[in-house]
Amino acid sequence: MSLGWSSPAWLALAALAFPVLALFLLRPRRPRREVAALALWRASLHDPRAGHPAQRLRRHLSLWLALASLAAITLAAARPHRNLGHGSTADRLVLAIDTSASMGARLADGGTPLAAAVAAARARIAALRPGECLCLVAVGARARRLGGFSDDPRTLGDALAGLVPEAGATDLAAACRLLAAIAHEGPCRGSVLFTDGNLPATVDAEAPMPIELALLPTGGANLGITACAARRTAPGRWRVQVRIEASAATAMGGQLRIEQDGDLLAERPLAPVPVAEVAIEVAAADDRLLALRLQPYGPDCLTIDDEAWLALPKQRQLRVRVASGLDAWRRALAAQEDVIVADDDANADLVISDRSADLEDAAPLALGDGVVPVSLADLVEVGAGASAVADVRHGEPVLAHLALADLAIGERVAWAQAADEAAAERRGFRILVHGDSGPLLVAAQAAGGGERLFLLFASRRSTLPWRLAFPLLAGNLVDRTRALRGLDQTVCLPTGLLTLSGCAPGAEVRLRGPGGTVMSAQTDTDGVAAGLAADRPGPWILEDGFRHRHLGIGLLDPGETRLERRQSLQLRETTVPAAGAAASHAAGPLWPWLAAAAIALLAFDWWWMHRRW
Amino acid sequence: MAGAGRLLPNRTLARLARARLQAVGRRTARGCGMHATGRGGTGADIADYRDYAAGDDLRHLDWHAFARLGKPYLRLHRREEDRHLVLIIDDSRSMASAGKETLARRLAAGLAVAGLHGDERVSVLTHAGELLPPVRGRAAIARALGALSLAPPPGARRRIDRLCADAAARGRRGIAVVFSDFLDDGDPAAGLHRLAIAGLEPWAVQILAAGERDPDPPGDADLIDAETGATLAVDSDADLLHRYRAALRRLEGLLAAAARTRAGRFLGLAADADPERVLLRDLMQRGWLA
Repeated sequence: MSLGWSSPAWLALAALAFPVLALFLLRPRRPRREVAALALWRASLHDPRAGHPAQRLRRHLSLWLALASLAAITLAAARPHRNLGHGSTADRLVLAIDTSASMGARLADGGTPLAAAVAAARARIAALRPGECLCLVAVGARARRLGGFSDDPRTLGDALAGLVPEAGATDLAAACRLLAAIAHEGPCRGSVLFTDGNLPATVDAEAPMPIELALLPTGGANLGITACAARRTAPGRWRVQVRIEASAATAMGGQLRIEQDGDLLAERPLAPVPVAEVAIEVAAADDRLLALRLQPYGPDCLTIDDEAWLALPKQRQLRVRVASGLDAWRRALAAQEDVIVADDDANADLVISDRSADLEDAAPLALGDGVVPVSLADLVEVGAGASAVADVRHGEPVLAHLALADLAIGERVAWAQAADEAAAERRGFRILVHGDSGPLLVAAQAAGGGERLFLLFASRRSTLPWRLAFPLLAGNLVDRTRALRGLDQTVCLPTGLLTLSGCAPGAEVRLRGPGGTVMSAQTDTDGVAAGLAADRPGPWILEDGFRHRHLGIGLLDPGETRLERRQSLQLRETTVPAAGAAASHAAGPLWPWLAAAAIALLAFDWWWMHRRW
Repeated sequence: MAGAGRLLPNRTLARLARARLQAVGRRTARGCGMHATGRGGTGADIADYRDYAAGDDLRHLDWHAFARLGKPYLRLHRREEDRHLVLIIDDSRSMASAGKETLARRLAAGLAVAGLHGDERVSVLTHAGELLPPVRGRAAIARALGALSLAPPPGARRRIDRLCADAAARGRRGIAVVFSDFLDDGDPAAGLHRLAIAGLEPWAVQILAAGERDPDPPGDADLIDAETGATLAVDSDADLLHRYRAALRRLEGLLAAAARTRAGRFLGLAADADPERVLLRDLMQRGWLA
């Protein structure tokens, strides 16, 4: 370990030793006292005990203390530091600061972990050595550089000034990728991550450089909303489901309020349990926002997770296009509530047809009646004969409550030679209903994000239209379509990058958020807009041409709400133990100790001059 | 006895008139006196006998021995010489404080009275010179006391060993009583040694003020020598007074050893000591006076 100097020019302060010596020599006369003779006094001063080095030092102690104080002040001004043996590596260090939501938790002293992290980073900046460069990185919901490598304390300090907690969890994988990119620019000595320990259990990434984990204090009791959704139960009535979690430190109760346009719709007290699931049915207007507000009974160190929003969709009738000739489907669907059945609706929400071309429509859900998809044609053979239902996946939404056991099918649907279910799944199909010889109903994902169902036998050649299961199936299809369209249910979206479907294809959409945040994106040919960063909870508005769509955004991160604290960072192959916030700079600056020594010396000098023997 | 009353009261002088100085050795002057010596002479004391030889003085023949033994023997008498009492008073500036020099003069007066009554030749020597040349007999008592009481005030800056050397150079034999604080940069043992070589039995009386025996802590101060004006910077510490007292004990030990090894005496006195008590009790108890 060697010693270096950050400001060696200040060593010139040592020249003040000459004025100190001059002042000592010209100091005011001490009290003069006449004695009969000096012989005995002189003899006592020449005593061997007086000649002891300690006694000789004591004779001019004030001078020595003044010189020692000056030396300590000079050394402190020159800002010495210990070199910890990294001399062979480049003197470039990355300071990564966790800016996740939990870093904004209120601490007992009124501060936040982020403020403590900034203070620790500033201390590290203050201890910059000559030739040493720092790069600041903020690691929140995404990782970003706060500037390039710099040795200018002012530049680095300014970069720290704008740091605020983000509404999201720490994306350490992104941080590792960013560190890798920085390491690719040039050799780095390592990085220091200032965090409160609220980290993912494991990070599927490798450390591109040595990482030192500097743990900061974390908040205490917290209560927050971690999930919420709503489902329409009747026109104008919504069932709101909310999941509320408490921090690991203390479980506390609270009160949940549901408001719309400032009006209180419902209020529910919460018991002090770690996790609470609440379902409340409220009467709320469509196409409006529901605000869910949590009021904890006690100090709540994180407020960003106390609110969530639900954007209730606009109520409208479902548009269904049924191909001509499928009268049974037409009748069954027409009997459903809020459904308009048409033959040629280009913007239909649900398409039922016996022609493959109709299934390529942009509707979110389409059912092919007696249609074998082209990609499945070599795996399935449909011919004369009969088939029976062997198994039904009742967990699928479209098959809920269906009883198909005695269904008679006048066609034989069978697997082709050497074909089986696994081969179909490899081609992206799920078997929903198994027949005695092959699949009867399969599902696949449409290119635009919707679902496609294929009834491999023609329903008119079976007893299905005469079975109770038929109107139930039609109802399930309607419900599923409403769900895919988002007409009957809504969820609160977590903060972060959004991928929104249902927009106009190839158009520019604009997303407006709280605080005047505006961002835009280009949708693809399927009408999907991606890469929109909703970085704060609140009501957002998606502007898609002339249409406006409300979006409810919340923190909704159980890890952030629970304020979990990990003592190590588990990467793919390495574990980084916590070192404490002080460790990163304990090995650095020495000037505080020297300054303290100078003050102590001056205090001792004062005491020495005023002592009484 | 003009001025004598200021030195010692008459009753003390009367008692001292009956006291005699008790020398450790026999150091006398060549002149005829009352103090027997080891050498042969015409004194009253018989020292030895020897066979008669032709030409001897028949007055010294012991007729009683001749009648008894039938053989003439000659009586050998001790020689009786006079003895000097040199009173050396350190009248340097350091003796001016706390009445040290006054005590020295009063003690010197007492010893002078005892010496003159004992037929000593008494002289007084100071840095200013010889205050009293050698005098003898009771008739000189008034003169001696007058010289001691009318002495000029202290002010000299000479060292005590120089004064002792001055006394030694005067060629007198007997007793030299040195009254001083011995607090100068000289070698007090050397002074006593010079006196002894010159035939003067060195009696040292060290007189110190109370503040010199047990000084107060000086603190961090510049000490000024009252005699030389020299300055000494002293920074107090917890051991300073211990070292001062140790230095004082070393000086006292040095003086005592120097006097004892040269057949002399040493006495340390406080400046506020009662001179009558010292003369009539302490000196007699210690055998200085009989």
